[in-house]
Amino acid sequence: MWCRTKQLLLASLLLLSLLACTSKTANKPEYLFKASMLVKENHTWYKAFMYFGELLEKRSGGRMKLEVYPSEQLAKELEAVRLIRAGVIDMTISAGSLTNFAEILTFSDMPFLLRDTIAMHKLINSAIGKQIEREMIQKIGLRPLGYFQRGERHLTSNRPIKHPDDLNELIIRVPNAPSYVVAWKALGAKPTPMAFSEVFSSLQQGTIEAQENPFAMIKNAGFSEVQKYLNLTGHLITWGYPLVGEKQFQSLPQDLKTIFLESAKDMQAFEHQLFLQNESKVQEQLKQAGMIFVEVDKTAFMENGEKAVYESLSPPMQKIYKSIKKITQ
Amino acid sequence: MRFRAFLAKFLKYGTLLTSSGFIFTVSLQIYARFFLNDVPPWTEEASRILFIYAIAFASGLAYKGNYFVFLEVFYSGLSPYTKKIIDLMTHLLSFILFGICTLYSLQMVEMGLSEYSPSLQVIMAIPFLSMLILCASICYYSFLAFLKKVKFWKS
Repeated sequence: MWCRTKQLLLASLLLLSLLACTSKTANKPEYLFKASMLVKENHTWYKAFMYFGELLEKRSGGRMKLEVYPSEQLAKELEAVRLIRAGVIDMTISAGSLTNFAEILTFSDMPFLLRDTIAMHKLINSAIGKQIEREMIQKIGLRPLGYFQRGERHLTSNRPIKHPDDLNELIIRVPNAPSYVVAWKALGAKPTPMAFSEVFSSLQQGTIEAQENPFAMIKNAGFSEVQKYLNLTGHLITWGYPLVGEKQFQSLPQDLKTIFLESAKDMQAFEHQLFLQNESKVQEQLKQAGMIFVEVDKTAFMENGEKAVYESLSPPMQKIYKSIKKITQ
Repeated sequence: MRFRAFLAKFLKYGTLLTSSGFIFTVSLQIYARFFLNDVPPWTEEASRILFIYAIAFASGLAYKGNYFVFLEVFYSGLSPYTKKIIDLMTHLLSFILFGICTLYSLQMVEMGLSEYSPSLQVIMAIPFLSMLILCASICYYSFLAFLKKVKFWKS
């Protein structure tokens, strides 16, 4: 009996080793890129990267290939950045989290900095925008391939908030970033840094009374079940950079580098179209889910919030802040 | 022998201190959420780092004291010879695995020198150092356990 089991075990092991040896060496591309994504498969970023992969393969005649892993299968946002720097994976999307590596990136995730998306485009295409990109390459070793607009962040609550005076110590969950805490505190709220995964249950239990996120995130997390009002504060306009490791990019021959950058431009345009379609769709879905959209006094929010954010910055960043305000006016 | 005693003490007090620190920061966070006007933003990050360190310090001690999960159901049904092989291989493979991890964690610590944590603003090499502590201590204790098993099976 034992002998038979041994034989069976041995046979299974052999079969497994054989299966492990089979690989598609004939179809193996010259350059294989692996991208880690925070978002799910139905998100516009994932679709854009899939489109980018198709373009790369087609235009390079199969010499380049892109594998996209959604839903943090490979790593979380910051871990993905570290893995790219270590040469384990090649691409991801990030922006605000990169402040940990280069302080100037703080402007890509700063509340009450930009009034609208026109100001955002002005900033990205300005000399400061180019400085941000340079620092990403030099200090972090990541090359931005364009930018993906993210939805504006809005405040959700169970009572309407039209003016900062309405906040009156409202307990708001904020991400673990000092600028958020400072800004909401200055407006009269009680900001509470908390991990995103805890937000839904904390809203249910009353640990927090409000939270702020873009439309798509509010819908995906199901906050409409525990929050009644969606106050259109638009206090944060932000974007994400599709990134490739600089070492990985430099390892490409010149002709492939050109294809890579051109395909990235097309990807950005493709994603922007998807983003615009998605934003209007999500707003409708939130209204249907019972959320009441509240128009707010944006100027009052901006005036109170921006001063506090400015004071929280280091002197060199305060100088850049002033330049950004001039550019985006 | 002196080193062994020092390491055990270092890990023991490390576990105690970081666990106490973890309990303190979490309690402070909960208290501040309900009773204070301001929640110190550093508490979330500090609690995370302290928790990671508590695990890092305690893992080596757990290996030393044989407190890891042990699947006796399968083990007890095996022949003495297979038991012997498994005993030796478990410690040897643990030693190799954590030896490799120790080398890579050194790289991680080096990478962490250019990165800062978002709210505490400490260099990330400090939290990454916990990986080195965990891997190096398990590597050391797995080697000792391997030698002990070799001695036992020889006798």
